[in-house]
Amino acid sequence: MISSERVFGNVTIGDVLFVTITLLLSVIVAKMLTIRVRRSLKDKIERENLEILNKVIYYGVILFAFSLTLPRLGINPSSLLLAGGILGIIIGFASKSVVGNFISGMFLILERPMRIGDSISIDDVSGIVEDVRILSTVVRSYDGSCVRIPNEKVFNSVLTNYTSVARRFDYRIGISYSDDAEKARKVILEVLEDHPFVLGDPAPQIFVDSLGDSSVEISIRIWAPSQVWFDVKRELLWKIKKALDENGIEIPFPQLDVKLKD
Amino acid sequence: MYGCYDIPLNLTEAGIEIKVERDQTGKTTYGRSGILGEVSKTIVSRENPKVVICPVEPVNLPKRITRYLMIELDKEVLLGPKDEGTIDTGFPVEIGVFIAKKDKYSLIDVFSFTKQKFSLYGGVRDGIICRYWRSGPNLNKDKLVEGRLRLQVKNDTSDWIEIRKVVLDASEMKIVYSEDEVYSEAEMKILSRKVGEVRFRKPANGGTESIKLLKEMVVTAHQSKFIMEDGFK
Repeated sequence: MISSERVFGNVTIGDVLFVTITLLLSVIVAKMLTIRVRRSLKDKIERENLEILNKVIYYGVILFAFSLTLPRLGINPSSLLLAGGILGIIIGFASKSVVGNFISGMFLILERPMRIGDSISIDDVSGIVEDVRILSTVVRSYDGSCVRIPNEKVFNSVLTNYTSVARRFDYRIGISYSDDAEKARKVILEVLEDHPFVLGDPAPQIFVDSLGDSSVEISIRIWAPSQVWFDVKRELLWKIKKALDENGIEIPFPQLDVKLKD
Repeated sequence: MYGCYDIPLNLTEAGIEIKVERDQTGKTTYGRSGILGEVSKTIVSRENPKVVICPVEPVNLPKRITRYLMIELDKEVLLGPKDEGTIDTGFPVEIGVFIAKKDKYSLIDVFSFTKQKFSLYGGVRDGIICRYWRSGPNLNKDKLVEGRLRLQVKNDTSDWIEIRKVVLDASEMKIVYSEDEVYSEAEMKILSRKVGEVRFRKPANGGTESIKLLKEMVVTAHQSKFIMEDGFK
């Protein structure tokens, strides 16, 4: 039998054929797996990150198959494991943060707490997500600067995602005790109803929230489409102030009545 | 007001004045003034273009932030199990002014005599913003203000269904106009108590077809129907 002929040491032609076929099969499996991963994650992961992930999967499968075939070539994997283990410890210490960021990045890509274009806040950084990479996340802050945050920090921090179809903002306006709060409520409601981007549903809420030291505090809660909410917020406060002025409703200064005893 | 006009054009109606003039150098100026504010534009064209004024999909003002239209019916409609019927309701009219050369149109102005209001359909996270319109008990007869929407409703369920709101994708809206009215048609199929398919269809009524403004928003894999998944009330 040709297959039992020894090539070197105890390795026969059959062993070499087995290793070759296994490696070929692993290449085919790795190819199929990467195609499948590419198809299923195409819309979910950035192209660059997807390529890195595919390479990791591709070479990981081949390496795994190769390690299984090592005994057929007369190589004891445990000796490799020992050497690899020592090397792994050295590399592990050296690349602790890289690995941490990489794994966090993988979880962020899978969990998807944010998408590119979302408005977010992580610790003291607020802005628009520009990119979610394997090792870091890039945020364009509202003042235009670009902030790179390591994925490990993103993963371990409290992340607030403001992106939604509609967004609420609140005002708190104090009116004089001598003014009619119900009339003020109607005046404010008219201003809100006149504004196209103050959503009809969820309807705005206007109510007396508290009786302050110098004024009756009115709370106003407004929902607006996310695309325009800041413009609406900017425009409305002054319109409300003007409407209250026009209707003779005073927004008082803080005041303190001092009574002197004779 | 609706129609196709030659330049020069001087049109005064409903408190607004539209003026389109062409000077000897071939420069055309468009101007609108009156109760809805003033707009002025310069158009450069070698040939003498035409001006088309027609109703357009009512999702452009004050700024295009959505393509969905929500119509709240004045009275709730109760539809019997496996039943079907027709509801006549209204939709807000927005008027587009186009400059036209052969079969190429370009929008130069859009205005409306209606009050614009928006509303949320569904949840804050995954709902949609819609141009909101509440149709009164009687349709506004002014064709510059409100158009007539004939809605064919079909209940595929074995329950009584109450309908108060209809959400439509305006990029599929087909509007026709005539001397008497602005008109559009849609159909709604109720699939369950909270889910329904709504789509515009080609109006059976005769009339001049409006120019479609939202054509460019229609993408290859675009769904022609809108699925209402958050109920009809």
